[in-house]
This record gives sequence, C-alpha cells and structure tokens, in this order.
Amino acid sequence: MKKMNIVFLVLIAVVSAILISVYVGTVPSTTFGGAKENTGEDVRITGVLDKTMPIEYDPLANANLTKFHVVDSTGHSEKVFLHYEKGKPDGLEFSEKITLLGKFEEDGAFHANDIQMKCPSKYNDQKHSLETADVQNNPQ
Amino acid sequence: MSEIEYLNENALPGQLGNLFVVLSFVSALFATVAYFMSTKSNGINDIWKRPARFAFYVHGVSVIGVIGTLLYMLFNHMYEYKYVWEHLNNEMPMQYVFSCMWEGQEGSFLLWTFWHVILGVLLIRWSKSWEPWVMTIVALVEVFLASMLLGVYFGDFQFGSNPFLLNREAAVNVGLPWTLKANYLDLPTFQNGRGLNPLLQNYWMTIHPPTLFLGFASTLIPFAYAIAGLWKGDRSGWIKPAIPWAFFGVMILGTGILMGGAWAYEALGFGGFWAWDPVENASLVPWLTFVASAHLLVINQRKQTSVFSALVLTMSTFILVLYSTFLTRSGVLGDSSVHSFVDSGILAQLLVYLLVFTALSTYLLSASKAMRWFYGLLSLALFITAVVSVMSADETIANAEGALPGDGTIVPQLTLIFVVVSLVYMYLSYRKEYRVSVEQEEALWSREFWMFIGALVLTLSAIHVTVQTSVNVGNIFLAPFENAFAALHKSTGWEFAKRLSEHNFAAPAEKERFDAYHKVQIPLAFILFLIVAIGQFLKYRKTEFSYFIKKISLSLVLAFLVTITLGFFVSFESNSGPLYALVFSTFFALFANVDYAWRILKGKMDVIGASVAHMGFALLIIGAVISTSQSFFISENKVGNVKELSEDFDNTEDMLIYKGDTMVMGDYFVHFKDKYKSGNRLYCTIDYLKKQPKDYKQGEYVVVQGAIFRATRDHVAGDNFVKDWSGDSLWVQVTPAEADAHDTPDWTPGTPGEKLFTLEPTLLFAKDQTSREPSIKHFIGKDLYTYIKYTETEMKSDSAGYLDPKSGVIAYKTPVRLSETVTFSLDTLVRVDSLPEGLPKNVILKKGNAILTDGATTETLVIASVAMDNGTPLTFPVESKKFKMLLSIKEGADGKPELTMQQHSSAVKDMLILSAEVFPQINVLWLGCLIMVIGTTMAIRHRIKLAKKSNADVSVS
Repeated sequence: MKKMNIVFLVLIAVVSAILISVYVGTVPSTTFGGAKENTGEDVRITGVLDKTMPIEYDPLANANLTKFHVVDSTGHSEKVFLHYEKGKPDGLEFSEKITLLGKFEEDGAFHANDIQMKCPSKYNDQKHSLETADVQNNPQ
Repeated sequence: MSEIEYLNENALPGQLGNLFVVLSFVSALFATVAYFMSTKSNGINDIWKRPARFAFYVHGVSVIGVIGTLLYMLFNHMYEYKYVWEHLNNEMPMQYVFSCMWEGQEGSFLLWTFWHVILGVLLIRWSKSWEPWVMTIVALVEVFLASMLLGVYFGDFQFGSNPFLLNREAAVNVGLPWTLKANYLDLPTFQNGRGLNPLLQNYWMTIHPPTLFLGFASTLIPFAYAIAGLWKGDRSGWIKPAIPWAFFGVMILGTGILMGGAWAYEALGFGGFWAWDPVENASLVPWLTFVASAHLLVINQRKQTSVFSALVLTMSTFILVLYSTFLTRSGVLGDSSVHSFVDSGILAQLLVYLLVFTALSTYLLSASKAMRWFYGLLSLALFITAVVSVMSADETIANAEGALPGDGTIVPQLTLIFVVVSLVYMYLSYRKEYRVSVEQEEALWSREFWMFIGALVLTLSAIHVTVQTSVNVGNIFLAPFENAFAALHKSTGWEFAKRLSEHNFAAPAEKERFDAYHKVQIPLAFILFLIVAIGQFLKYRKTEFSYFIKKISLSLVLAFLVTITLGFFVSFESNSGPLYALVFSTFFALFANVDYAWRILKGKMDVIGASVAHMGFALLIIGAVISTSQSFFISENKVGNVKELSEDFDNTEDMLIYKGDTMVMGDYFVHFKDKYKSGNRLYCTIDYLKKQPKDYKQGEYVVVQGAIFRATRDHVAGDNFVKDWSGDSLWVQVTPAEADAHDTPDWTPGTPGEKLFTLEPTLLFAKDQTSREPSIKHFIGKDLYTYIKYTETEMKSDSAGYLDPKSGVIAYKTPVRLSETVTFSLDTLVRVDSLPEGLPKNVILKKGNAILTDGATTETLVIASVAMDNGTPLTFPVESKKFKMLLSIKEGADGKPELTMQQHSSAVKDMLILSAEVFPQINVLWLGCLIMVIGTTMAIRHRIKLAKKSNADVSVS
C-alpha cells in the first residue's frame, strides 16, 4: 500500500475522532427544571439575570461566592450560587445573557462553577442608540 | 419640509472622508479590471500595466486619506460623528487615539486595507513578471475590503458600514426628536463621547492590532501567488517567490498573536496569556495553517511532490483569515439570536466574500475545462438560489425569538451542498492531476516526508481549534436536519441523536474550555515537536537510518535527562501525563536543533535560521507549559477570623489586608500603603518588604490562636506555624499556668525589613464597566503578578452613615470578631418582666450585657432582645458610640441569639482583597518568541540571498 494512502486514512480517522470528541464532549444544555430532575449532573443553563432580585456578594465572607437569580428560557427564576475564583464577574449587572455551568446539589440549590456572559462588547457597541438623548439632558 | 441648517456641525471632514471612501472603492475596482486586462497581454505590449498601477496608487492614497480624515476627526473630538462619539471621550489620554481608531469594526478593516496597500506597493516593485496576476488578486481583495466601508443601502440590505456617519444619520437615531433640532450639538450628550473600552487602554493595544493585521494582510501574498500560479497554469513557478513572504507572514502573525497574549497577561487581570478565547483562536488558526503551508512550500520548491497540499494550505490560510473575521465580526458566535440573517448586512456580506474566495480557489485547483465549467456553474446556481431564498425569506421565522442566522431561508443547506461539492471537486482534481506515483513518493526517512507529516499535524491542530471554536456555527447547519435527527432518536433511542436534533451545542465556557482544547492540542503538540526534533537530522531525499540514529541520540538522551530531573523539582499534577510528555518533546526539539546548528551546520549564521526559529518555538512552548502549570498563589488569607460571621468563608488564594497594615505574604511582607483615585482609575499601592527571618530561642513563649507554645530548641521560624509545630516539633503547647498569655507575643514568621519594590494594581472604570489591571514585578526566573480582587469603590451606607448589615448566629460568653479590631461578647439574656413604657404589652423582653473591646479600650452595652408572644422577633438596635456600630439581637426558635451588626462608614478602614500569583519561567516564553523572530528573519534573509543568486545565475547563463 502506498504511504500516502496510509497517511490519508490516518488523517480521516483523526479528523473524525476530533469531530466526535468536540460534539460528544460538550455538557448538555437544559433549563433549571431539567437540571433539577438530574440533580448532581453537570448541565449548562442559558438565561438572563433576574434584575428584580439583588446580587449578593460579600467579599469579606467569601470573595469567590456570588449569589444572584437567573431566569431561564422557560421564565423560571432560580437562585444561583456561583463559586468563581475571579470573584464577582465583571459586568454581571450589565450582562445581556448568562450561560452557567453547574448542577443542582443535594442541598437543592443550583451551584455553578463557571459562567459565560454576553456583554455589550466592543464589536456590538454600535447597538447603543441615542434614543433618550434629549429626554435625559434637554428638558424643554 | 425644509432642510435643517445644523449649527456647529463640521460637515466638511465627513464629506472629504466619504469622497476618499468612494474613491478607494472605485480605484480598486479599476485597478482590478486594468490588471486583469494586463494579464491578457502576457507581458508583450502591455498597455494596461501603467493605468493599473496608477489606479492602485490612487487607491493607496485614498485609503491613507480615509485614515487621515478619521484621525483628524478623532484628534478634534468631533462628536457629531458616530465613530468618534462611540470610541473616544474627553478624559482619555491622547496616546490611545490610535487604539480608538482601530477599536471599531470600520477602523480595523481600514488597518487591514492599509497593510494590503503597503504590501501591494512592494509587490508592484518586486513581483516582476508575476505582477499582473498577483496584483489582480490583491486589487480584487481590496475591492471587497473597500466595500466594507461604503455604507450604502440596496433596499433593506446594508452594504458596508461607513465610519463617517453622523450620529443623527445613524439608522438607530433617524427620526428621533433631537435629530430635528438645529442646535442638537449643544446637548450635553454630545459634549463627550462614550470612550474607549478601558481594557484597550494599554500600550499593547496600540501595537498589537497593527502587527496582527500586518500578519493577516501578509497571508494575501502567498495566496495571490498561488492563485496566479494556477491561473497561469504554472503550478510550481509561484512557490519560490512566495516563500520569503510566507515566512515573513508567519513571523509577523506569530508576533501579533503573542502581543495579544502579552496584552491579555498584562491588562486583562487574570493570570495567563492564552485563554482559548474565540477571538484569540480566530488568529491562531490561520497561523497554524500558515506555518504548515510555508513549510510545504519549502519542500516543494525543488521537487513538486506535494504541491496539492501546498496549494490547498496556502489558499486555506487566507480563507481562514476571512473566516476568522466572519466568526468574530458577524456576531454568529455570540449565542443564538444575535441578529436575524436578513437584516444583518455585515454577516451576509462577509459570508459572500468568504464563499467567493473559497469558490475561486477551489475552481482553479483543476485545470480541466469540463470540471471548471461544472463547478463554476453549480456554484453560481447555488449562489443565485441563496440570494432568492434570502430575498423571499419568511421574516416571521427569521426574526423569531431564538432564531439562528439563516432560519427561514435555505442558505445553510445550500452552503452545506457547496462545501460538499467543493470537497468532492478537490478530491477529483487531486486524483486526476496531482497524485504522484509510488516511485515519486518521498522516502520514509526523508526530511520532506516528515515535514509533510508535520504540516498535517499542524493542520489537524487547526481543524480542531476551528471546529471547537465554531460549535455555535455548527448548530446552524444542524438546524435543517432537526426532524431527521429526532426521527433517528425515536427509532433507535440513541441519546446523542436527540442532542443533535436540539442543535444547541455551545462552545465550552471558561474552565471546561482549557480541558476541551488541551486534551487534543497537547498530544498533537507532542507529536509536532518530535517531528521538529528529528526533521533537521533527516536529509532531503533520503537518509541512512544508522547515520540518523547516531546523530539524534545525543539530544534524545539529554532531553530524557532534563525531563526526568525536572520531574523531581517541579510537581506536575497526577493527570498531566500528556503535559509531561510534551515537556520532553519540546526539550528534545530544543536540544536537537541546538545540536544540529552547532555540530552539523557549524554555527554558520547564514544557514542556521531555521534551527534557531525552531529553538525559539520549543522555548516558547516550554515557557508556556511551565509557567501555566506551575503557577501558584502566594496570597493567602491570614486574617481568617472573619469566618465567624459566615460559613461561606473560603479564601485560599486571596489575602484580606487593611490600609496601613503590614502582613506576611509568601517570601515577603506586604504593606497596603495607599488607595487613591486618579482619572478613571483606582490605584492600590502595595509595598513589598523584605522578610527578615525570625530567630526563636529555646524556651521562648509565643501565642497562636489563643494557645501558648514553648520553643523546644533554637530555630528560625518557617513560613507556617503549623508546619514548625506539628511537622518539625519545634514547639510544644503549654498550659496557661506556665506563662501569662498577656505578656506573650504572637508568633511571627519573620519581621518586615527594607522595602524591595512597590506594585500598584488598578481598577479601571469606563463605559459602565470595571476592569482590573494587574501590576507585575518581573524577575529573571519568574513574574510576581498582583491584582485587586476586590476593594470597595464606594461604600454603600444609609443616610446616617451606617453600612449594610451583617448577621450571624453567636454563642453566649464567646468573643466574636466584628471588625478587624473589635470583638464582642454577650452574657446570657435575662427576661425582664416589667416592660418599659412605650412597648406593646404582648412582647417578651430579654436583656443582656455585651462587652465590646479592641484590646485597648472596652465598652459595655445593654442589649435587648424583643419578641412578640408568638415568637416573631422585633429589633431594637443599640448604638456603640466608641466603636461606631449598630447592634441588635434576635432569638431564634432554638434559643440561639442572632447578632446583626452595622458598621459606621467612618469606622471602616479601607480593605483590599489581594491576589498574588507567581508565574515561574514565563520569561522563557518571551525569550522563545524573540529567538523565533530572530531565527525566522535569518532564514528569510538567506532565502532572499539565494533567490538573488539564482536570478543572477540565470541572467549570466
């Protein structure tokens, strides 16, 4: 058999292995309801910050723990205990969308150890409009 | 309605800018056509070359004109322009004005275009007979890039985004009341802009983007040569002139990426220079394929055995740059419903460009007319169908909540068909036109063969990073098949089919991201470095196996020894076997290349470039692996006693320090000297002092956490009392009868000595964001990386000045620490039967005496617990005058008192939670980068010399 054919076959095998590992390796997305059913299993939940509830952060007590509420896609609001070594995530208050990685533990609370936020970042700043410009600044 | 005369608006720069924008587009278009005509003449009687060059120069001048106008507007704070208003503000130091310029999308496209212009001018001078072909491609790319700035509308479809748009003209603002006011510029809103993202206000951000974009731009030249080669039907002639450019690009792009890493390390505030962030990955992937393609060009310059791979990788590199722009700019990465496909001008535009260049590259791979016709027509048909499908898209589906880009159209399906057709086309042209016979194949022990394998490993690495980064994009292509997957799940019960049908795969979040990338990238890097090590010792064509073994064994043995020795000194985590293997293979590559440059090439500066570059690459990875896997925190919370107010306390990586205090941290004493605000920054000044050893004599007494200990022999205090006590038995606990706790000093690991250096970590505020910037002390063997984890930026207090309350259950007659100095102790609560006036009759009142002390002074308070008959507590806070706090007690159902304390803001000292991390040997990484650049420069010089020499030879013969 030609060397190139062997190389080619190995290449195809490795590419397939990579594709499978990427897709199988991801943590399943669900909602708080789904996560509660599978207490103890790692899940990913996407939602928005519940702005009606306070963000609790007491750095003196634990600089790595932030407590806040997140509303998932079904509209369910759940208190989240985020254990994060970077402390309170920068820009949490302004986040447009939050993705949490964590699980419901035996205490019945949702504990997350990883967070990803979509913030108004440098590439979509343009979305900010000046809609309220004169309402705020020019009472006439 | 009459036209409004707007007051104080500087309309002229905008009009001038727009003129340049249009001119740059038109001239690029003209240059493309003229160069295309010039290719027809084949160098004979070429009447089109001069006008083509002229048009390209006009294009260059207009691009510089656009940039100049934009800079003029920025320097003059013309906030009537959207770009200026969004990226600049009055407070910002003007040295960052360039960063403002390329912060936005339009500015970064401009920067990219600018480098294409510079490289194009160099090509006009240097590419000789290749000029018409190569420059047609360069000019064509410029047409596309210039169109990104046009900002014109065709119906609903936005074509480009214009940096000279006035705020009042922006689509989001049109029709708002203020846009109809002639004096709208007097509004406070327009007196200041929104400013630059604070993270970008860093010197690395002034040089990182230009370098990176020069790297991106330089992928165009090998691409243009490859296209030109295929176009002319000369599949090998393009390789030689493309090689120096390819290595130049590899060097610049690599440097640009590492500058981004340096910025992340120095400005992003959380240790580490590489986070596998999508934006970082988007620049890494083209670099990986660029390196692979540059090496393939070297293999193929003499004997064209793998010219197909060289072509594909060279063209993919440029296409991947387009793809990375598409990924990071179109919003397709940010979760599902960023924008719908239909109105998002830039997404569609970028996708079209990406596909046009992919189609063009693929099309040219085959020389067969029939194949080309078939592929060309099919691509065109797919494109027209896609346009029709977008035009007639079902808006309700496309704009629905949670819709993916492309929902409501058949664009994903068409793209998928296009990709499959292109792959089949590539495979067919490879079989028919590029495949070499067994006799022509490289020998197993030849340098060519292993360089080829190395290029494939790099390609695999690039494929993995691309797929892993684009998981969200994959969802778009899974969406059309959701029913098929759902049916599959139903019939087979296969769980994974269900997840495919849900098509909501997400890119890994931060922590899992490292695992996801490392589990594939570390093994690939391990193999790659083995190849880098052995590659040099293999000769072109064929190598005697015994010769090879003899030469390589020295480096192999050395690498083993170093790796094993390293294993004794540094502790790798138990699961980091692959990482340890990588350390071995990088050392192997390092030694092999040093050895090769020294023993075989005798250190001749002319020829050792490649070896030096490989050494640099190996050092870079060694530095990266060691500094990240061996980093450790020296900040630990030594106060600890705040724990009594909360059970959540868990601060192993942070140190709580109050202003004015001096505490032990690692090998230092740190002194929190000052905290002050200046501009939009908050600084914390930390002095690092020398830790002088503390000698304890035998029989000396110390106090640790209330207990008394006696030294068993003379010794110098270690870092940690527990270790000295239980580990080394240097202390023995004694009864209070033996020594008086009051006169006994606390144990200390040392005493603060002279000041060594000062670090000033900062917090930055701008655009509704806070970000932390670390302060780094660089040593030769390590970096000490310090950042503010938390400090109060403003204290939230009520109108009387009291801060937020803190509560906790306490025990009777046990001192509780309330603040850094004050302790509180409560004796039993005694019921009071005669209620004072003013209290309702149905309550239970209990009274207790509380003692507050800071060690020096004491205050006694009478504290009351009041509850209704049914147990509902009422609170009556008492104020401690001396220690400035409000205290109240309520009794729980179990009878345990819960204390609530509110400190007065005036009594609170500035507090800082500090993180300090040591990155050992990080300088090896930067040194590796430097050596890599030097090596590559040497290699490029050598190539240019060779090329000149061979040209001279040709002209002589």
